[in-house]
Amino acid sequence: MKNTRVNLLSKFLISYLLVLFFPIVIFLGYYYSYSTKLVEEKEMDWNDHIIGQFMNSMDIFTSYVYDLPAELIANREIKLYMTDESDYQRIIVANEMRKYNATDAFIYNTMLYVKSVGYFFAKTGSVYHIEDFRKKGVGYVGYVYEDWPVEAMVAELNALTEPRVRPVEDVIVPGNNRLRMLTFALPLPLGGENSPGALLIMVEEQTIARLIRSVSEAYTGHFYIYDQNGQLLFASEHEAYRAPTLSSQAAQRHLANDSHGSKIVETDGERMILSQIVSDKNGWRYVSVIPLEDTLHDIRTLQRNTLLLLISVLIIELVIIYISIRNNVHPIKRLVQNALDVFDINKPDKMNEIETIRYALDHLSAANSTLDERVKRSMPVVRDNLLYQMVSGHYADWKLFTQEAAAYGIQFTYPLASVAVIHCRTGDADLSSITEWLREQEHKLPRQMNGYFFKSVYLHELLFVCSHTDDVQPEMILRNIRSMLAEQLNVQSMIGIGSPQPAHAPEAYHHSYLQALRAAEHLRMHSEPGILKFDEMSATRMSSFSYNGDLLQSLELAILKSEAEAIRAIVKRILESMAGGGLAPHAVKAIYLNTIGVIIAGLQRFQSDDQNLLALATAAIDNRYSLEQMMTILEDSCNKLCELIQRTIPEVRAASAESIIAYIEEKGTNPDFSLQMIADHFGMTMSNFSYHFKKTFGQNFKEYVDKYRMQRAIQLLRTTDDPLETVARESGYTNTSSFIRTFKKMVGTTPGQFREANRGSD
Amino acid sequence: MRKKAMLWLVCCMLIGAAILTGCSQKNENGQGEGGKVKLTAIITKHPLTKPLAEMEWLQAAEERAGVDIEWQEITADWGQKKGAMLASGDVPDLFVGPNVITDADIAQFQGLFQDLSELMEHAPNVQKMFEEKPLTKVIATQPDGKIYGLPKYQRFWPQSATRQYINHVWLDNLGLKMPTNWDELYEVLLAFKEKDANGNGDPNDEIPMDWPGGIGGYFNAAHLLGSMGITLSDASGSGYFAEDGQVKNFLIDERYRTMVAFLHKLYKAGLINTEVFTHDYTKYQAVARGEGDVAKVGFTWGWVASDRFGPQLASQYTSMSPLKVSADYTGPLSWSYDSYSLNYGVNHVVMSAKTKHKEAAMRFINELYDPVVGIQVLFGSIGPNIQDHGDGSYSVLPPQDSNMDPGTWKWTSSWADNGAFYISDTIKLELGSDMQEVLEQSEPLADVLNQVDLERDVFPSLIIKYTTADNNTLGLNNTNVMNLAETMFAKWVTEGGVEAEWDSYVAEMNKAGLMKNLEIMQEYFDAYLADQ
Repeated sequence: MKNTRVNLLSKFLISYLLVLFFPIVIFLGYYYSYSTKLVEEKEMDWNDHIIGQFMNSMDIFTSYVYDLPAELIANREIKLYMTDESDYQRIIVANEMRKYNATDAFIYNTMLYVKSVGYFFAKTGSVYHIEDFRKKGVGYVGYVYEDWPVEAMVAELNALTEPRVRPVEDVIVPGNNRLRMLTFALPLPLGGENSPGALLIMVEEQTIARLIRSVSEAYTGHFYIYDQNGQLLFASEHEAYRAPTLSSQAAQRHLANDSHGSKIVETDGERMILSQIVSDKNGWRYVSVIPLEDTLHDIRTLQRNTLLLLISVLIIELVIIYISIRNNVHPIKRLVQNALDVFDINKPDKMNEIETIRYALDHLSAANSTLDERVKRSMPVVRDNLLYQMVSGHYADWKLFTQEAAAYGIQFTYPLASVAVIHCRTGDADLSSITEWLREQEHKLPRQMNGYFFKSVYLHELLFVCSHTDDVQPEMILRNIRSMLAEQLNVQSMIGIGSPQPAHAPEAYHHSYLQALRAAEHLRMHSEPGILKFDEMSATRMSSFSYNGDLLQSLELAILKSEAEAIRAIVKRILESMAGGGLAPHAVKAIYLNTIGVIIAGLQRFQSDDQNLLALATAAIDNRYSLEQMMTILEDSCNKLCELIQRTIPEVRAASAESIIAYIEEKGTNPDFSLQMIADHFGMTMSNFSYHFKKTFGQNFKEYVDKYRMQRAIQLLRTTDDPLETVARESGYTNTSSFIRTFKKMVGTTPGQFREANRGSD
Repeated sequence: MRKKAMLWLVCCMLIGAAILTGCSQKNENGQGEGGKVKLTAIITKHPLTKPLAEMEWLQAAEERAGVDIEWQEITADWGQKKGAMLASGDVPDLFVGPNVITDADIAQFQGLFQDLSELMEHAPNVQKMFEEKPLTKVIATQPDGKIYGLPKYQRFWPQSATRQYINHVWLDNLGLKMPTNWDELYEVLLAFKEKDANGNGDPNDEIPMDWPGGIGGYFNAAHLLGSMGITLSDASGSGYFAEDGQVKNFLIDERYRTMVAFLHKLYKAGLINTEVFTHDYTKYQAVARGEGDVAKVGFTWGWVASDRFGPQLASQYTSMSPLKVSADYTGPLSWSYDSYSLNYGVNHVVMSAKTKHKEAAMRFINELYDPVVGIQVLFGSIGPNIQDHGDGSYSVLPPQDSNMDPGTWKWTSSWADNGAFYISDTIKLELGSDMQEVLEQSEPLADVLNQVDLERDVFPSLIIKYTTADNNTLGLNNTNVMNLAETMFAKWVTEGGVEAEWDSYVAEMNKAGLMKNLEIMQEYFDAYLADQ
């Protein structure tokens, strides 16, 4: 029971969860598998975009840088050949240099180197001499490259014929501060080897890093710039300049690969997004490396959180659904319990609630249909019973009857009432088919008649009851039906018809029924098939049989006296009178019944086998017999009785003194113990037994019995405190005062005094 | 029934949990531990300055005000960061720093900043400062009478940032007298040039005269204008000065022509550093610090000798009084009056109008303006940086790190000049050696500066608040004016020609907007004078 409930619960839970879970799982499954990939692709696109943007910005700046020498040469105020002429010329150049501040945000400093004077004209308006770069310590005034000694610098600048870029390195700037700079060394476009000077442009590492951030605040990866020869110019992580880091290794490895765009690479087991782009301005390669984990961290967290959220939601749902289902299951449980109580379910495998209920419902409907069938079957029976009750005169009230009868479609609307008894000589089975057939005939009755056929309580007997008008003769109709019965069903029948009575009272039908019964009886007695109306048989009923009463009394006496010969003689005379004719059938039957009753009573006296006797009595009384059959039964049972009587007589003579005493001791205190009783016991007449007793015991039977009873009473009075009534009953007296009277006569005191006296002596 | 109750219980628990989370988050935002009010603030501090969490005086001040401030310490690029921050409106409760929010910012971002005059009742120390130093209230008050930023007042700074130094050792070496006028100066410098003044055997390594370059500003040769009675105002970087209630610009003043001619005379004679127009400040400083104990510069300008010439050579230099233009000059002498810009600063603390705890924030500001706190804001905490003598007097202690000069020590230990504070004229404080030296070396200027009519002869650029439109006009015109002036000044000094080109120069200067600027400034100055 518990098991099945859990089954149903879990079944519900699973189905609810599936409804909830399934779509979410599908969404999540889709989302999970694609979101990571999508994020990767997005990120790669984004990185492409960022380095593209970054490259564009850098290109703008670098192209400015590359154009600057030509621009400076084009400036007419800057007369390089004059710089050694006068201080003012230098000031002019210095002031002109100030104007090249358009890219201050990008360029830390621009210095125009003039070979002839060894001066560097900075765009800040300051002028440095080559000697300033040489000074050490606190005296640092110019820009000092630690890895680019002044001599090497000057030599290189003097010989410069094409642009050179120095990777990011430490530079000591005025004020003794160390900055990390990317340095461009550019020749002036004129003169080649004999060029008047060169341009030194410094870009702070920070500025480049900031540029990346300005493209995207959220950018977290590592960034590298390589020149066209694959030399690392800039790295977003300081360590990468000295020794390759994980990211720079990845960037380095893919340098040879000329492809633009992003891809996912793996270095030392770490997956990274590598995006690169090559500038078509200067051939620089911009590489971005982002560890994939960093990128995916957010989406991973999101995924994990979503999952956790989902699980917790499911758990809460589970609890809520479980609770609500448990509430809902209660009525179902009771239903199931009821079903189980009503239908004893003994299927081998356990069923859950639904199956149980289905099973119960199946059974219910099955039971319902059988019941229905039974009710349908019992309808005619009830109808028949109703009609039979009516014709038997059991309905005192006509109204009551019509009400009840209406439910079965029975109505008697016409002024005359007639009843007929149809007697068919067939077996039981045929009778029911005949009944069926007759019922169909009900519908073919004429219009001025309501008529109904039904079975009587007697075998082979059908009844027809009808109300009709004067115009209709039931006899004609029944005659017709009788001939149809004979033709169609091959059934011979006898039909007795009662005379029409004024209708609308049960008595009318009852009366007619009795008449029909007698008519039918008459026909049966004489075994003549046909139709007989009661009116027509009135001629046969006149002689009487007063003499029967005497014969029955004699028979009883003979049986009592156990005189077998006398019994036979009397029965023979009764049979003769029955066979003699001139008696009405009911009279014959009455004689038969009385006689058989007496005989059976006699048999009862001599036979202890009650079962056989009962069967005999039932067979003898209940069935309707023809005259011959009755006479045979009477003869047979009479013979049997005589046989029994002759067998029992010798036993009676053997009633000894011991057996009499034993019998008295056994039954003597019974209140209904009597001389008759004991005489019957020993198969004697009372007078014979009385005589036999006095001869055997020398005293009167009554005296003996009274004495025996007093002894019993005295014993009770002595040993018990029972009230006198009880003592009297126990001693065989129904009447206490007669007990007291007898006690006083025989003992001399009343039982009360006797009990007082005896108690005193104790 | 029981089960329904359980269901409710679960629901209530969930809702309760949500509410609790919400509440606890709110609590975190609102109140700090111990019922302190949480505030946020930004300070623009010097890169040297140590973390604010290590400043004892600040912790004590926050404690007394009942606030717990989350400081954002900014050392660089404030200008860039500020623009984005103000534009977004996502601002902290307080800003601290020198002119941290400018009047232009306040005008541009109306409603973003709190009018502090409404909260003045919570700041008795600020009220006291306004009473004792009315100028602080003047420079704090906007034309509409509202106060968005509070100024600082640091009392001890001298009246002028620039002092005039001459190497007296060289004078002694060459048997020369201290010059008192330009002609004597010329002779002295010529001697420095021609003779081996520093005595290192090389007669050509002496630089007789040097200044940082260009015209205008601290330590500039324009201070020679004092010799003809021009009082520079805050070093008159763009040439503007006041004379008897008139706003003038020396760049078109005849006296300037005289000075330029004198400077050309010097330059022509090789008495001025040939790199004077092209060297940067580091080189200017480095040159003056000489080589070892060999001085290289004879006559120059600077803040204080020890800083200008280095500790080794400082003792060779003497602070000079202003020179006369000529021996027979009888007019007044003057110098640059910089007291306003040195001792005052505007908008050193500004409050956001969005702060939820205005009174608490004002309580904290009030703590800063307590004079005893003020000296600590400037010089560092009582204990490590300041000694409390217990009788109401205090001394600034020398640096704990002996390798550090007092100036650096100050900037390391506290907010220093970037802070917001008030040092009352009555508090007894003995200054550190650097400040004492500054004051000492300012003595020769005292006589001259004390004669200056502070109302009519000083243009109070700190006090005057222009409208945004006027401000823009002045700025634009000044750029044009200065471009021309710088070029011509450099040309005239090195090449000469000031006499011939003067008139066309003046005409071009006026065309460049100088006249317009003078008109505008005169209007404001008249209004200022009318208020006095």
